[in-house]
Amino acid sequence: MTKLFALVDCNNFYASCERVFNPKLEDRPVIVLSNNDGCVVSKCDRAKQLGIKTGVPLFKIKPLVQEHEIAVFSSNYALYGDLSQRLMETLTNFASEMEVYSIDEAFLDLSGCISSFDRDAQKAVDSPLSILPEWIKRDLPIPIVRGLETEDLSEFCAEVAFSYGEKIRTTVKQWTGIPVSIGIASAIRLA
Amino acid sequence: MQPVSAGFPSPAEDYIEGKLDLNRYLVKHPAATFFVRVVGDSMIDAGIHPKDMLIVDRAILPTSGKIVIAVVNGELTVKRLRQVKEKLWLMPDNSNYQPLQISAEMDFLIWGVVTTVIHSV
Repeated sequence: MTKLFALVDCNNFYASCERVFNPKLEDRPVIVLSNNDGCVVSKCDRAKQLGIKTGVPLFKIKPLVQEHEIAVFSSNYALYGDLSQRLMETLTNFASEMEVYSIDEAFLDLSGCISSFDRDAQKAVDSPLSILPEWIKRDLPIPIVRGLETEDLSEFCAEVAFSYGEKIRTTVKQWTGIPVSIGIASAIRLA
Repeated sequence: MQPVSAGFPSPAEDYIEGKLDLNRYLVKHPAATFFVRVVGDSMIDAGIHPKDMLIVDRAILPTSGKIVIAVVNGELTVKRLRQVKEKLWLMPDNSNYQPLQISAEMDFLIWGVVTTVIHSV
């Protein structure tokens, strides 16, 4: 069976958490401060575009905050911890094994989750993905392949991996409100 | 099976079922389920009162007829979702409030589906 690993990493985790229950923040740049509100530890994409870097002390960017109406938050670890738990719990639906790497990152072992990666690809497409819950099997867009040539296998694998990664992304966003990025490869260091 | 040190085993021992666990009974997708406190009376005819607690499941597909938490122009609101032909509406359950038609230009999304109302008496 082909080995396959994914690395799931949240986008701007603390800043994204602050948006989950406060949809008004979607329109504003968001930054989160370190303990004692010293410096920036998380920033959304819009704040990054304004030139705000991680570690910059708040007092240095006060004019920028006022000019662009940046929403500034103290760290709320109870919130981040709770959403992190939900994220990791959601991810367990997609992997045979999982390693939580940090508050917003996890490695997933996808081996055996997508039987389409077996060499005998023709047969695998037709067989059920028994390890996955019903609703994922129903919704997962598996490309239909007939008469696959060996040289096409890596492209086919890439397509299925992409579909699977997209499924993980949309499910995590739907269930927890957190946007994530996913890298999939045949070795952990490559993911 | 309970260990018996001395005396008689309980006659109920073979009949004990699990206790009702409200978390398992009410929460189908724990990772996607959140609790929300109600403000306002726009859904009072649906049995949703101010200060009630709603169990909101983000993993359930929102369909016409379901009570949902929606986000309209950045504001969270609880309403019944209705689809009439091609048009989408957010319906209050209180005659003092107006239905809201969702247009393509509106900033709108469904935050989650309400599965249960917890109302203290």
